Parts: sequence; structure tokens; C-alpha cells
Amino acid sequence: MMFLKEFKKTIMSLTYLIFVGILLLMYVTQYETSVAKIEAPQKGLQSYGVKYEENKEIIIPNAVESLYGEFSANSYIAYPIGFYKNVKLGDKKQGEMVAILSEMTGISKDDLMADAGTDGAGITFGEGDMVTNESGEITFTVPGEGEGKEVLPSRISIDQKLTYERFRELMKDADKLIGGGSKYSNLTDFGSVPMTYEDALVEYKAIVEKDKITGALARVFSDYLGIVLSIFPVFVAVALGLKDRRAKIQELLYTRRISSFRFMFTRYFAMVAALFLPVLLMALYVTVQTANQYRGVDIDLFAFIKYSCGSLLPSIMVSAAVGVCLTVLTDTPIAIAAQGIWWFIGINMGLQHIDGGYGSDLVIRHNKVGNTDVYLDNFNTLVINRISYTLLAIALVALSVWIYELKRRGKLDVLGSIKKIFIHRKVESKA
Amino acid sequence: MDNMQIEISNLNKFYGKKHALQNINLSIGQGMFGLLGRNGAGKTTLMKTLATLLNKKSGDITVCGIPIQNAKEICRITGYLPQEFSMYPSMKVYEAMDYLGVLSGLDCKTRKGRIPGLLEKVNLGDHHRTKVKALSGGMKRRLGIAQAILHDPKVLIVDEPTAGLDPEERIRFRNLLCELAEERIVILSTHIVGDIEATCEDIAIMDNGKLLYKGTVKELTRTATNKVYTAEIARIELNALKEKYIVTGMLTMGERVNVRLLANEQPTTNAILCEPNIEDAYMLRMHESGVAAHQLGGNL
Repeated sequence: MMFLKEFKKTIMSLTYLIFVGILLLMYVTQYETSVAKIEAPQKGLQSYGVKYEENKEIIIPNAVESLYGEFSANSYIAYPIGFYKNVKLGDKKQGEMVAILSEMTGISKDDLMADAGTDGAGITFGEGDMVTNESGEITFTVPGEGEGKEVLPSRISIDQKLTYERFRELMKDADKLIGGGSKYSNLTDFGSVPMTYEDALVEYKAIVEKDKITGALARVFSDYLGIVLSIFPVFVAVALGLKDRRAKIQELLYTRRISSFRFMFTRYFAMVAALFLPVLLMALYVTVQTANQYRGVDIDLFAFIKYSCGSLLPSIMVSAAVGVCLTVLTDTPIAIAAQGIWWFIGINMGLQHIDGGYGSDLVIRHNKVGNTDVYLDNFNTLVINRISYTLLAIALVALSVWIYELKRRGKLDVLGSIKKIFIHRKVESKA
Repeated sequence: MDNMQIEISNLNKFYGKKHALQNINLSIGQGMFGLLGRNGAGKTTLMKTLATLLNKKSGDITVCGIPIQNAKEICRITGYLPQEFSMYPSMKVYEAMDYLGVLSGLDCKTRKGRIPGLLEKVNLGDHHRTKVKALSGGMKRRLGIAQAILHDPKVLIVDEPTAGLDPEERIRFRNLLCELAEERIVILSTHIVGDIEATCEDIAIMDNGKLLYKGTVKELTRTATNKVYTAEIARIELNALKEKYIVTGMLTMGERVNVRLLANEQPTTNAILCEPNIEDAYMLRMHESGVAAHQLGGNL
């Protein structure tokens, strides 16, 4: 009974309606516009896209050349916590980096250092000219072939004795020197190769046979909605949490007979159910829509529901739980800031796995129709990821129960303490 | 017969360094019990402690034989109307009662059977579909009482319920509390002496976290016997008189003023001894307990 009352309270709130609106907007503007009908590849096309292979013949030279380029310019691109960072290493670390490059290329450290040049690397044009005309426009005159001096070797040679295992170790060291989050933290990205017709056909078959079409579509559906569902539930949770304080009924609720455990968990699950309802309805809608589009094809009718439950529900749960926990603790909307930061970092980190891969990402990204084998290869990681977030959500609500019980018995008043600090500071500054 | 008694012994409560309740010892039986005191005297702190909303520092409290530590059981037998009663503004009156009934652990049948009757009792029967935000102050306060007795508690704790109500609403509210006290312990906290006089037999007076008096209204009133005078004086004499004595009432009639004051001896030659009322006795008690003269308006 309480569940229904809390459910009704949630769906009647303005914040909830805004949440549903944003969810619909995401679906219409992103999912519907990015998913075309899946059809078998046609022979003779110019391009079938790219694929990533763990092929050492491709990965090693590409990665070493990239590292050499960055080393020469002493300018390393990294995303340590999901944010872009241009790293410049000090002499000592550059010394260590040159040792790594030397081991991988077989070129001596001195030669590598000399090639890099003292002012960084790049291509310099010895005989070129720069002219400024009357209107202030600057024109560069580039010399003809053979006239310039190219500092960067066109292709770095690889030491024949370098094993793939040692290469991986060295790249791990290089990533550490850069501070983590560099290109060398995920070497598969260096294994990009063009897809052939045969590759495209294999992928198509995987979508049809393993994913039954809807599985591949449901991953993209979850990808887009996951972005919204990893952040917006916190707004609903905070708004509902603060409603008690705004209505000044906290004391009235504290004195009721209901246990803190039942009160908090019922409220939480009612809210999660309300937040999940539009997702389920959209999943049903898109299932019907897809079934119509692929009439006569053997599709998985439950794929959208399965992905919604397995992938999206944990995101809703954890985002709402952060909202519940921090609002119960502080009686402020601080949870929005906390979840916002986490979500922003998560979104940026998720870019590394945008085509699938998952890791410990808060926001599960899989922004490609297909990549079925990547999904299947990482299925266990995905399951562990989602179960972990679900457990984290439950743990946060359990923590909220404990906090609520302390507040209820007058043993904790974080907002009061914060106010006291500010009042005390004001008095002191006036004095 | 059920244990209908609240026992408080050596109760202490601190807010940081402030000693909010100082060694309170009190026994409250069935019927109306008034807790009187100035704003900030510690009444609300005591009420909240009894309602399990505040944690005591030391001392013992049992409510109908149940130790206060057993908060869940205390909540089961206690109804509480906070000083500022409020409810979700967009909820309708019946909905609000139903919601709070669910939180009190009442099943659907009990709620359906009890809520209409309670709303009738507090004169809100015709307003069961009115939104809480559309209720007047008095109606809200009556809804507050209805929700507090929804689970049929043995104890009803009512904190400053008549503040801000018009006289008619105040009288209606006091009568309602008296009706409810026929089968319960009702603790009424107020700084309005008239409310206590009209409703309570047993009272306690608090000031600065201390209990200044506990007993009956009659006994308290008796303490002011032979100390209450009325006198008719010239208007220009009023300020001098107010500085010297505690004036508890005055009626201006042109250039003359009829004053009621507390004094150990006859204050003016024309002053006449009169029957004390609870207000006189309360002021006297406050004076005797060391409340500063300027706060009471004079000496004796």
C-alpha cells in the first residue's frame, strides 16, 4: 500500500515529468535517427567500415610510431579521468621514455634524442618563407620536394627481438610515465583495419543469428537511454527527498510507527519502479516497431526488455540511490552535484569503450549496431559491472536507512551543523 | 487496567554546551496535563524527547511502562502534533490522513473505518476532498489533531497548538483536547496561560530548562493568595507602579487606571486584596524562581 502511494507521489511530481520528457527526447532525437534497417552487405562497396584486431603486426608499429611522435614533441595526449590532458614530461621521465623507445626500436637513446631535436620534433621546412601582405594576411611558401628537412623518420623500425608480451609491458610503463589514460592504455585501438565484404557479412550474420536483430538494436537503445538514466534519476530522488523538508513534515513522519528500513526501501523501490516505467514502455514500443519493420525475420521479442532490465535498471538504481543517500544525509541538493561529477567522468571514460568493452563504467556505452563479438567477449565484465552497481545502490540505500534512523532519534543533524558553522563564521567575521 | 502514566526521572538534555533540560522529574497521569513556560523554556525539547524525536543525555523516561529507548513501541502508543503542523500541500485531506495511516501501520479496513469519523470529530467532514494548502490555520491544526489520534494512541503530545488561532477556533480546539483527554494522557505545551486555565488540572511550569513547579492549577493559584491587589490609580502614577510591582492586568478609564498587581504588602492605600488567578500565580512563581524583574515588569 505504501509502495503504491509513494509510486503515485513520484509520478505526480514535476521533476518526474521533466525526466520522462528528457528520456523521450533522447529516444526520438538520438536512437530513432541513428538506427537504420539492418540489411545484408552488398558486394563492391568502397568501404565497409573499420574493425579492430589484436594483431601484433599492426598494433606494434602503429603504437610505437605514435609514441615516438609524442615523445619527439614531448606532448602526450591523455584522458586520466576522462578529461583531455596534454602531458609534458620532465627530463627524467623523458629519459625513461627514450629507454622504452630504444628497447622497442633498437635505436640508441642518443640517436632517438638527436632525432627528437632540442625544440621538440615535427617537420621543419629549411627553405620556406613567410610573407605578410598589405591586408595583414600571412602566406607560407612551402619549398618543393627534397628541399625541406624532415626530422621525424617516416617509419620507425621495430627491434626484431621484441616480443608482443614485452611490447605490452613497455607500453604499460609508458602509460604510467604519462600518468595513465593515454592511448597506450588500450592497445587494441592501434589494431584498426578496414573491413572487407567478408568481414561485413560475418558481422551481419552475427547480428541476425546471435543477436536476432533486436539484440544489436537494444544495445544502441540502452547506450542512448543509459546516458540519461545515469544522471536524471538523481534529480527525481533529490526533489522527492527535499519535498519532506519543504513541506515541513519530517517530524511528523519520524513519529510514525513504520520502521526506517521499510520506510526508506519502500520509498526507494517505488521511485525506481516509477523511473523504470517509461523505459519499459519505450522498450515495448520499440519492440512492436521493430517487429513490424522485420516482419518474417526471426527476432528476439524480449531483447529490449532484457537489455532494459539488465543494463539500464542498475543505472537508474545507482543514480537514484546516490540521490536518496546524500539527500537524507544533508537535506540539501548536493547529490545532484556529486552524481553530476561522477556521470561526467563516467561519460568521458566511457568514450574509450564507445563501441563496447564496458570495464567498470557507470554509463555502459555501445554506440554501434553490431559489434556482437565484442559484446559477447565482454559479457562477463558487463554482468559483473551491472551486478556491482546494483549492489552499490542497495548498499547506499541501506546506509540511508541507518542515517534516517539516527536523524529520526535526534542523533544526527548534518544540515543543522552546517548552518551552525556558517552562523558561527558570520558572527566571528562581524566581530 | 493499563499503565497510564508517564514517568520522567533525572532527565538531562544538552544542545552543545547549553543545558536544555536540567534534572527534570515529572509524573504525568491520565487526563490533560499542561506544560507552561516562556518561549525557549525547554517545553518543546521535553515534548520532542517524549515523542522520541530527541535523544536524552541522561535520565529515565517510561511511557505507559515502555522505556523511551523502545522508540518503535513508543511511536505505536503516542500521537504527536508538532508546533508547526504541515502536510504535503497538494494532498487532499482524506489522502493525507490515509497516507499517515499507512505509515502508522493501519490496514486498509481500519483506515477506511476510522478516517471519516475522525474528520467529522474535528469538523473537517465536509472538507475531506479539500487540498491541504486550501485549509485555514485552524482547520490545519484540527487536521493535525485528527492525524495524531488516527492510530488511537494512549498518549497525545500537543505542542503549542493554539498559537495563531482566532478566539473561536481556540475555544473549539481546547474543547476538542478535553474530549480526547477523557481516555488518554494529553500533554499540552503552551505559553498561553489561558489555555492551561481552561483545560488542565495538573500542570508544570518550566523556565530555562528547569522545572519551576509541578502540581495542580488550584495549588498553584493558592500560592498567590494574599498577594494580588487591585487598585485605581491616576494614569501618571502607572509607570512608577509598574517599576515597583508586577502588574498582571490593567484597564484604562480616561485619566484613571484600574490595575491588578502582585505585592507582598498593600501597595497603595486604596488597594484591595482580591482572588488570585493562574496568571497571577504563574507570574509570582516566575518571580520567585529568579526570573529577572525587567522580564516580568517589576518586583513585588
